[in-house]
Parts: sequence; C-alpha cells; structure tokens
Amino acid sequence: MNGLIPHIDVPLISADDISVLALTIFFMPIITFVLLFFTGKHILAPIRSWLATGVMAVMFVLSLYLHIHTEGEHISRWIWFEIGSLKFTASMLVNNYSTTMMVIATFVSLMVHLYSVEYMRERRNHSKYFPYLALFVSSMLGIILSDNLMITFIFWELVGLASFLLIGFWYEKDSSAAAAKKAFLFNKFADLAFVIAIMMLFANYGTAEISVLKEQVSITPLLNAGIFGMPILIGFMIWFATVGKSAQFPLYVWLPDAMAGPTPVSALLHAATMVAAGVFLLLKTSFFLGDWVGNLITIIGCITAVLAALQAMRTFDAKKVLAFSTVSQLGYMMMAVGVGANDAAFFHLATHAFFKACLFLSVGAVIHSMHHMQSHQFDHGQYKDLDTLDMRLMGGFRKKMPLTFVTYLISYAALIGLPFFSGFLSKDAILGALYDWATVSNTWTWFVVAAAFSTVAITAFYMTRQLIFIFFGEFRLLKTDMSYKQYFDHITESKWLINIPLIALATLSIWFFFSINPLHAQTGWWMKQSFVSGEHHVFHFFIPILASVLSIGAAVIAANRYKNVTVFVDRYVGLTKMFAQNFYIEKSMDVLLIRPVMLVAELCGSTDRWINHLIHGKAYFILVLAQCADVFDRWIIDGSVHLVSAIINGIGSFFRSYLKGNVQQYFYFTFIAFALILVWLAWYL
Amino acid sequence: MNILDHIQESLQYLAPEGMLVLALLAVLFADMFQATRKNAVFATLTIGCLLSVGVYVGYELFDRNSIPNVEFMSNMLVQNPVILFSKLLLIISGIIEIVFIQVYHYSQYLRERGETYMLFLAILLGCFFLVASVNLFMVFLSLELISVPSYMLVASRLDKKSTEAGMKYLLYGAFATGVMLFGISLIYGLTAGLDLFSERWILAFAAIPVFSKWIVLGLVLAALFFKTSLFPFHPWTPDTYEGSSWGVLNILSTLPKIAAFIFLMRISALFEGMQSYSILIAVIVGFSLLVGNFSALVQQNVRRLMAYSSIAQGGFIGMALLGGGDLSQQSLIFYLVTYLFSVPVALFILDYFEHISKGDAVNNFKGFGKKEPIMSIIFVLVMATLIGLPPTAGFFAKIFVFTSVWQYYETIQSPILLGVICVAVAGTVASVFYYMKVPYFLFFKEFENTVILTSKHKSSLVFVSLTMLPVVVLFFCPDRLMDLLKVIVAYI
Repeated sequence: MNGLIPHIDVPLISADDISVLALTIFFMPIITFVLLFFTGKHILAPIRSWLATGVMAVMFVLSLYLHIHTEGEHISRWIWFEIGSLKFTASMLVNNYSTTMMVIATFVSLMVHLYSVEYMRERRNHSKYFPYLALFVSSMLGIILSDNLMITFIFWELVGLASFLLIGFWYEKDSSAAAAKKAFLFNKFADLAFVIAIMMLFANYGTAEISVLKEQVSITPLLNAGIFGMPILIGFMIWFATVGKSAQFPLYVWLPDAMAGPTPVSALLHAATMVAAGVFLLLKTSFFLGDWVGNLITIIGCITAVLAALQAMRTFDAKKVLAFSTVSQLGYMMMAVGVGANDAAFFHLATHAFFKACLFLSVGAVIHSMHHMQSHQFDHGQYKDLDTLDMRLMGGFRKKMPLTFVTYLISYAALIGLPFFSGFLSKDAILGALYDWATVSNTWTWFVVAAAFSTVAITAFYMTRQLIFIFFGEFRLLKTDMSYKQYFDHITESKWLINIPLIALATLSIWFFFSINPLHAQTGWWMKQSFVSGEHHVFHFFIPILASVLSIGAAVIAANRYKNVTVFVDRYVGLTKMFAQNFYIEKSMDVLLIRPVMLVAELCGSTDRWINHLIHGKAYFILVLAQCADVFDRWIIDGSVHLVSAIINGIGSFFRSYLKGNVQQYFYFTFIAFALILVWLAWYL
Repeated sequence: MNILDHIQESLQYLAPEGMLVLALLAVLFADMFQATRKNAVFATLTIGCLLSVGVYVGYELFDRNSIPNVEFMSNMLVQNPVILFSKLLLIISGIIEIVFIQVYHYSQYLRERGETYMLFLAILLGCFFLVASVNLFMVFLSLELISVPSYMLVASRLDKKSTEAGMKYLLYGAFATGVMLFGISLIYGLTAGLDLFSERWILAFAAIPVFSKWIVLGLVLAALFFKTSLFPFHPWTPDTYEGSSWGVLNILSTLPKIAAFIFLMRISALFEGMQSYSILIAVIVGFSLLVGNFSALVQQNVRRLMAYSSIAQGGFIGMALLGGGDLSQQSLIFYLVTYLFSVPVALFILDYFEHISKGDAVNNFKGFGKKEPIMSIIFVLVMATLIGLPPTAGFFAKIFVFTSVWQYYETIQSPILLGVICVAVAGTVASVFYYMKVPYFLFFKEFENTVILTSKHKSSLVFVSLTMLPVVVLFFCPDRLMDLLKVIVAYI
C-alpha cells in the first residue's frame, strides 16, 4: 500500500493556547446538544431556550476574544487513527480567516437564538429545536476550524443532517418533509463529488491536510499535463461539492423549498452556516482552482445570479423572494471566487450574512404577527386557512411595525447596494474585480460583467417590490376577508427579544463597520486584513456610480409599478410557470438522468418478467404434464389395478359360491372336481 | 429270523414314540386321580416328555455314527436323518403349541383338561409314524391316528359352533379316508403289495396302465390332500377354523401339515422324474393357490381369512413338491421351518386381538396399532413372513420355492407348470391385499372400540417375540439352514 500511496511527511503539531480555546468553543454547542437532546421535555422550555442562548453568547464572546488575540496561523495536528503504517491525521487551523468566520457565525447564531426564544415560544416540538440549532452551529464550527478535508467532510455531512432536521422541523406538514428530503438528496448528490475529491487527494498526495496540500500544490507542477491535470480536477470536484451546499445552478432548487422550516432557521441557513460553508470551503481550498475551473465557476455563478434574481421578480412568497436573492448573491460570491477575488468574495459573504439575516428576521417578524392574527382568530372560535407568507395578503405594516420597517429598510439598502451601506462596499469590490478580470480576458467575459450589472438592477427591482408589498399600501388581506380587521388593529411592534437582533444586525449593515470610507472599501480595515489572498483591484470610479444608478433606477421603476397595485392579474402566465418550475431544471434532470435510469430499470424489470414468464411457462408445462400423468394414473394404472381386483373378487366369489356350509355339497364338490381333474389329466397325458 | 427278535430289535428305533405313549398314559393317569384341574401337571408332563424326545432325536440326528437308513417293523417304518429332522421339527412345533395354550388365558378350557394333552400327544404320535411310514397300511393307520384326535379336539369346546365344526370335520375326514382306502385297495389289487418304497412295488406300479395309475395314485393321495387342505379337499377348512378355538387351529394347521408334507416330499422323491405325478401335484397346487388366495381376499372374518390363507400356504409349500430334486426338498423344509414359527404367532396375535375386541371381524381391530404397538408391529412382521417380504425368512422361503419350480419348468417346459408359476405370482400379489388388511385396520383406522382394553400380558409378548425371533434371524443367515438341509436331504 505504501507503494501505491504517495507519502508526504506530515508533521504533528501540538495545540497551543489559541487552539485549545478554539476547541473549547467548538465543543460548547456539542455539550449543549447532548444535554438538551437527551433531557428533552424534562427541562422547562424557558430554561431550555435561555441555556442554549446563554451558551451561544459565551461562545460569541470567546470567539471575539479569540479573533482579537489571533496572530498568524495556529496549526495543531495529531494522529487520528492508524491502519498499519498508514497514519490518518486530524488537524485544526486557527487564523484570521477562520476566527472572522467564527465571529460571524457565532454572532448570527446568537441573534437567531435570541430571536428564536420569542419566535419559537409555544411552538410544537420546541424541545428539539435548540438541540438541533446547537448541532448545526457546532458542525459549522467544525468546518470552519478543520484543516483536514476528511474531518471537514464529516462536519459537512453533519451540517447536511442538521439542515435536514431543521428544514423538516414541522415534519407533519407534507411540504416540510418533502423539502427536507429534497434538500438532503440534492446535497448528497453534490457530496459525492467531495468523496471523489478526497479519494483523488489520497491517491495523488496521500493526505487530506489542507495546509500541507497548499505547499505541495505550489511546489510541484501539474501532476498530469493537460486540462484534466490532477489539482485542477480536484478543484473541480470540490467546487461541485459546494454547488450543492452553496446552491449553485443547477442544484440551487432545494434552497427556495427549504423555506418550509422555521424562519429563524432560514436566517441561519442563509446567513452564516449552511450556504456560507460552501463558499468558505472553496475559498480555503482556492489554491486548487486553476485553469478552466475558475472560468467555469464564474460562468455558473453568473448564470445562478441571473436566474435566481429573475425568479425572485415574480414570486409572491415573502421568504422565497429572500431565498432567491440569497442564491443570486451566492452567484456573486462564486463569480468573485472564479475570477480570483477571494477577499471580495469573503467580504461579500460577511456583509451578506448580516443584512440577509436581518432581512429574514424582519420578514419573520411580519410573518410572526400574521401568525398571531391567525391564532387569535382561532382563539375566537374561527379557523381559516391563511398563507401567512403570501405578500399579496400583506401591506401597510410600515405604520404597525415601524422598527421592523426601519431595520428592513437598512438591510434592504445594503442588499441592493446603495451607498453608505455594507452591501455597496462588497458588491463594488466584486464588480471591480470582475471588471479587472474582463479587461485582461477574452471578449465573452464582458457578457459576465454585463450580467452582473444587470443583476444589480434586478435585485433592486425585486427587493423594492417586496418592500412595497409588505410595508406600503393597505393591508390587502382585509379586502378578501374583513373578519381580520379587529385582529389587524391589534398588531403592534414585536417584543424586544425580536427587536434587539433586528437592531444589532441592521447596525452591522451600515458602512462604517467595515470601512470608514463609505464609498470605497479597499481602504477599509476589513480588506486590509487580507483574510484570504490579499489581492486588491484598482478602484474604478464609474463602477459604484453605475451600480448605484442602476439600483436606484430599478427601485424607482419598481416603486412606480407596484405603488398602487391592489389587484393581482398574472399577465405572463408562461413566465410565471417557468419560474415556478425553476426553469424546468428538475424536469430536465428528470428527463436527462432519472428517466434513462428508470428506463434501464424498466428494461431490467421487463427482462425479469420475461424470465418469470418463461419459468411460469415451464411450471405450467410441468403442471399440465402432471395432470396428464394424473389422468394416466387414475384411468390406466389405477383402472388396471381395479380391473385386476374385480377379476380376483369374481374368481373368489365363484369358488366360494360352492361352499355354503353344507357337508353334502362339499362332497359333491370335491368328488366332481377331483374326478374332473383326474379325467382331464389322464386325457392330457 | 424270529419275528419277536425282529420286533425287539426294531423297538430301539421306536424310543421317541414310546416316550410319547408313556407321557400319554401318564397324563391319562394324572387326569384320573387329579382332584382339581387348576394345576400345571399335564403341561409339565407333556413339555417334559417333548423336551426329552427332542433331546433324544437331536442326539440321534447329530450323532453321525448312529444314523443308519434302516427299515424296521417288517418294512413298515424307516429311520433316516430326514425323518429324524422332521420329528425334531414336529417336536419344536409341539412345544410351541403347548406353550401357546399355556400362555393364553382365554384357552382355559384347553389348558385345564387332561384330554387336550392326551389328544395332542396322540396326534404327535400319529405324525411321528406318518413321516416314518414306508407302507401304505402304516400311512393309513397313522393318518387315522392323526385324524380321530383332531376331530375330538375341534369339538372339545362342547358348544354348538365347535360341535358343528367337529362334526363337519369328522364327516369330511371320513369321506377323505374312504377315498384313500378305496385307492389303497385298488393299489393292492394292481400291485399285490402296499410297500410303497420297495423296488418290487415300483416295478409293479410302473407296469399298470397309465389311466389306472393316475386314478389310484390320486385316490391314495386324497387323504394327504385332506390333511394339507389342498384343492379339492379344502372345503372343510373355513368351517372348521371358524368353529374351533385358536389353540386347536394352531395344532391342526401345523402338526398334521408338516407330517403330511414331509411324507408327500418322500413320495415325490420316489416318483422323481415321473412327469405324470408332478403334473397331478401341479394341478392340485395351482388350484389350491387360486382358491386360497382369491377367496381369502373377500373374507371379513379373520378365522375364515386364516383358513383360506392356510389353503394358499399349502399351495405354496406344495409347489416345492413338483421338482423332487434336492433343491425342492431343501426349500420345502425351509418353508416348513418358517411356517411352523410364523403361523402360531399370527394365530396367537389374532386370538389376542379378537378377545380384547370381543369379535372376530376385521372391522373390530380398528386403531389397535396405537393401543398395542409392539403386538401390532410383530403382527406386521408375521404378515410380511406369510406374504414373503423382507426382513423375514418368508422372503427366502418364497424365493427358494419359486426357484425350484422355475428350475423344474426349465427342465420339462410344461405349460401347466408355467400356469402354476403365474398363479403363484398372482396369488402372492393378492396375498398382500388380504394379509395387510388387518395391519391396515390396526394402523390406519381410528380407534372406535368402546371396550376398555385391560389385557396386557407380558408373557404373551415374550412368547410372540421369542417365536418370531428365528424367522427374523433366518432372514439374515438363510444359508446356514440351507447348508444343513443340503446335508440332510441327501439321505432321502
């Protein structure tokens, strides 16, 4: 085996204080998970909620402490297990990059926890909610800290499991269960690529240690010449794994469906944990991405961004609009990764985490009040099926929930990239990087840039649409059912447990947290940290102006268009249908993958049936033969036996008939018989 | 030579018969002065006598130096190893019968009477004389010595059925004896002598016309056919069997038959090569097989069934008379050995079942197989012997008989012999049906009898097991007996 597997000396490094602290943070949610999962309903719900939230707060503080005190890289590596002479190592890397991600993840998680304390109160299955959240966070921390791809894979799968459990949290709803299944299967399909990548790594390098591989890849040239050389192919495989997790075309269709889970979970999923994991991993292993893979990533990211944004334009589900917007923003990040602007990608990941979480939680607050309305009505003896996510039934929440409106507005501005907000900075970084990339590449790359810019406009359009639908105009539900009037009147601002996360996240969506200069992030402290690669693009003055103009223009168009809409008439049925079907991605998967497989299965099945028919035919033949044999037995063999016995009985009766117990008759019989015998014999002889 | 000296000289060969007569007189004496009948004096006397006769005969037989082939008593009787062996067989059979009567509780009237033992001893004496006879007059006397006590034994239960059976037996026996006497008188007229085995008589007999020859021979053999219940002198058998008790039946179906067949065997040896004689026997035997086997098939009463089966068995034994050579004689004696052990067992178990089920119809035996498993299994074995199935000596007995007949058929190519073989094969097949009828009812029908089965006699089990043992043992080493018989039959 040693001959087959290339041996690279992997030094073992013992953990220092920083690493131990990171490990401690990592293990805290695991303890929470075990404790809450197995005690379950024996602990009172408030204690449960506050315990999990408290642990998360401690984790956030420790992460912050860790981030401040981390300088350079802190690698610790130890033997995981041995098979013969083969040593499998596990390792942990703590550097600026990972601690920053940890801070983002723990902060968003903390916010979501706080929000959940109120939002999930008195909801069904409450006892399982916080353990699952803890599992989710700990798995994410595992991905962040691990420096070994095999360990990463384990947590990668655990994230998949936790997301499955949380998406299907209300599993008694069919849509929930189906969405969870869909998310799980799409992710598993992509994860196959991860497994293949790990196998390739072991075959070529004999290790999955990222930092060791990083050196090896930079030292050695391409192992196999050509465009399918080894590091390139490995990069492709890792990227494909993230296509599932980070929801890229064509596997992004699970993400909108995943809205079936609780709203805080959606916030966590979209902001800091699940989808971020893919981008985070890709950035960490970006040294594999060479040659054509980068272009592929960019193109796919561009397609994803445009398609998802288009779908968001025609969706009426409040959460799905945000989900499509997440997919679209992930496309941006991937484009940045593809062109090598790793820092820009990570920057956008960070800013996006805050404002997207804020958006989700704001919309969640609105949905929460809609729920309250429904349950109030239920308390008054009525129950009406109400789609609490449908934006067509909302409106006018600006006056009812002004704080929520403000936080939504801030994060909205950040998302569409208005100046003085975080999204402006990160988007500018990505667009600048794309522009730089296009100037040095072929002409087709300008299409990508154009698509990226148009997506900016589309984003502004659909977000404005949502803003107007939810917060402006009148409460449209009353037009269909006036019975909600009394309940709508009672709607007020949410509880402070919901408001605090909203305010915190909205604050972090404003420019000054990332850069003093509100228009240019390159001079800001974030980009100077050079978390990933440290590459910077040249500042182009026209890019932020163009982007802002596009955003504001699209927003104005959308505002004019939807300002006074009260009746919803679908004038583009075909378009709606196409969007609702996710551009027929699932259909085409069905046609391209599932149908052929099912066809082969059907062929096998029919072959089997033919074989069965043959066997049955043989059995029938034998049965018929047996019937024939039976008839033969009954009539010929049994018949002959019966014939013989009948003859014998006849003979017996014949002889007995002479013997009726009369001695004289005996004499006659004997005399005549004996005489006949003797005479016959005499004649015969 | 002085006649007295001759008689005195001859008496040394008559020691067994003398001992039987003494025992007979002792039983008669004891019976006269015995106050109570509930004792075992008669049985003890009889068995003691039989044992000592057996020891004497056995000593004579195996003491090679003392085996002369001599005629004595004015050429009336003869002494040779075949006759000694036959007497040995008769004694064994006699012991089995006496034990049969002792073991079985329901034959109390037989067991406790001195007459039973006297009559039995008389029959045995007659059998002794019959096997040793060389003169037709002696044959006649010994047959009568067998017959007259037999009539009395059959009627000894003194009820209506038994008296009727005895009466029929007597009438029919008298008829047969008359026919025989007629034949003997004709023979005396034709050959001027009754000394069958002398060269002079054979020459004289050969000189008479063929037609007369077979008429007289047939008439003379009639009484022997009667004793062996061969066709057409069989009609008495079912009636007599039905009317008499099993203990008597046992005596009637073994002792006289063995004696008569031994004598017939000697006659066959005398006429060996004379085709006419064997054709006569073949016809008689063929019809016996036909009548016995096929009549037995339709019987529902076990006594009548056994009666017809004994006719059929007589037919099978008679087949061994046809050839007349060594193999025929060996197989005849082999068959007799098997027969004398198996018939008492069959009758005993039937008796047993009949009494616990209070009826002699086959239907009454339903489901006994589960109540009396060992008895039933031994019964199946006995039936297998009588059919001729492994693992019993009956299998080899039948094989030897068939082989001897086939050999003879290959010599003379007579269609009548072929017919006999065919009838015998068909009879064997048919015998499976009626012999297995009782076991079928024992094992394959549910128990229906309301009578509570109380009788469980260990002595009965011991008796049937011990009696059955030689039959099973002979299956595994038939060659031992055949080798012994080969030595013995050379003296005929």
